[in-house]
Amino acid sequence: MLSLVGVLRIAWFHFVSEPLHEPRRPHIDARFAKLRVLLPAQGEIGYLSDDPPTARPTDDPSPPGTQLYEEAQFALAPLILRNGDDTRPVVVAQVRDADHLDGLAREHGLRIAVTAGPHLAILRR
Amino acid sequence: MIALAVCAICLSGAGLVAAGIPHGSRPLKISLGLALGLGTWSAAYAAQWIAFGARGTGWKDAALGVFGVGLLLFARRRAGTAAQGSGVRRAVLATGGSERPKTADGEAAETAGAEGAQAVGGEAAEPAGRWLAVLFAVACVVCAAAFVEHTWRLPDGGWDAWMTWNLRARFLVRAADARDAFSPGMLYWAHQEYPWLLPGVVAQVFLLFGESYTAPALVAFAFAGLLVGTVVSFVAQLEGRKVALLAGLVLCSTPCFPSFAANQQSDIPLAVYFFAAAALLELGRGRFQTLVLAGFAAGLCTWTKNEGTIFVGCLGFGLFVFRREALVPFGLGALPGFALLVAFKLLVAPPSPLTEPGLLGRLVDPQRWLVLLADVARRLVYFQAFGLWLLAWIAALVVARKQLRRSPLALALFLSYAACAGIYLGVPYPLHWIFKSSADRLFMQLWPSAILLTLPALRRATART
Repeated sequence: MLSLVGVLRIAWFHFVSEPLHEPRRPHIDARFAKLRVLLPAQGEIGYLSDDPPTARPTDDPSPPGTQLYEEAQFALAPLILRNGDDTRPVVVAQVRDADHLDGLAREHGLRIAVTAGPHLAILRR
Repeated sequence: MIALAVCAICLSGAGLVAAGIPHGSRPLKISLGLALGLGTWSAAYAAQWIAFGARGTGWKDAALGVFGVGLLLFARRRAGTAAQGSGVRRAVLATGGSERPKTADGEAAETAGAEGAQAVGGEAAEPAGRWLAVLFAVACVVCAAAFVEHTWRLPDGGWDAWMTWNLRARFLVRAADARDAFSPGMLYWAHQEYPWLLPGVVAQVFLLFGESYTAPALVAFAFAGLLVGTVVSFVAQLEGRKVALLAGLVLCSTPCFPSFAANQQSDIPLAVYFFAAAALLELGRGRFQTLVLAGFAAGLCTWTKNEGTIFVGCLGFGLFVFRREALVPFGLGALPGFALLVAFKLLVAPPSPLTEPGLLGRLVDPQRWLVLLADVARRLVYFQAFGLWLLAWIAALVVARKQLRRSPLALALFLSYAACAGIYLGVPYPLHWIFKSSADRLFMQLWPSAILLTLPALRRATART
């Protein structure tokens, strides 16, 4: 009886509820494909965002900025993204609001070298 | 290279199993052999990199193949010596349906004391209920279909899969210097200090077949299948086919199982190795080499996830209290995996966030205790993840409490849950967030072992009333 309940719950969630309410997520890499080919193959680069990731373990990591950073790190590996570091020769900017890109670059004394869509850019000094 | 890798996995697994459980049933040998072979393959990859900086698979796989053949020859020779020395009595044992030699010294160990003897000789011969087999098959099919659906919907796996495990595999394959995989330059959410059995497997599959999205999904599917296989075949060996089917059914009808399997995270591999360690301890009463193999599986636990070390420590404590004679072989077997973990932590890994200041303050903070208690209470009736199994398990523990009093595994599970509570209180992360995002996975890591503990005890408890 308990097994039947469990199996029905699995079937309901995966074959009814999830298809109705959870759209298929695209591969994370797809969003960074244009950017990736413009970056060095190895090494460390800076990372800036208008929604910075949580930088201390004691802070709540659920805000979207943390996810944005982690997705960028996953897609751009083996590059190491140094959060908030604007002193590197190459800095990746990722913004939630496309209008913030110019301001973000200016704020750190950088210029937009290349954009890879409205939310992603490479910044240089 | 691919053939060599397959040989390395199969031969090392077969060798370990032949040396550790010479009289195991064929399904048990296959499922456990593949699980241990896969784990050994990954651990050896990590060991060669930490020791020599080497990242190729060829020499290491050849060495593993030779190691496996050596173990197979050793097991064969040992079996021959035992047969000659003590005289062979043939006994047909129903478990596995095969005729197996029983030697004077092997007999006591194989049947694992009075309870084991009863199980192997009695229950094992009982035919499994047809309806149980059908229901188990249906549950397996539904789980497999759910795995495919979840993988299609979340093609990069669960959050931790891409944030930690597959990220690490990518670094291991792509980086000119593999130390970049553990760089403190990344934010600590990448958990660079975690051991990397699963990334080691995925990285080697990438090296052999090229990078793809399919590889981590297939590895995840393999571990899920091996978990079901080891649970069913071990319980069949210990308790007979009917209880084994029931155990498999409980596992496959746990709602969060297919989701966590498809998430490509380390929880299912950890469940495989912890279960294998616990089950081998049950199987290996009085048999030195089986206890060593239990320790070896426990060593792989420690190399899979940080929690693995805690669980193994708790299992070791359970042995210390109730089965002290098993402690030395268990510890000897665990040594390779544990040594690898220590080498990694000392030579490569950045410090753990647990070392953040304020640990004592967090441990005694009444606010955190309240949050934890409320979250635990809510989780007990979390139907979405556990169905009704968690409540049923607690009820079963109450019914079978007398049978569990002197069980090392019961003590180990209790201590593991208690230790997890301590870790929740001690980690610097926001408590409600970390509990919500990890409690169900912790449950799944220990769930197969909880099934192993409870079903036989419940059967005995109800048989006596």
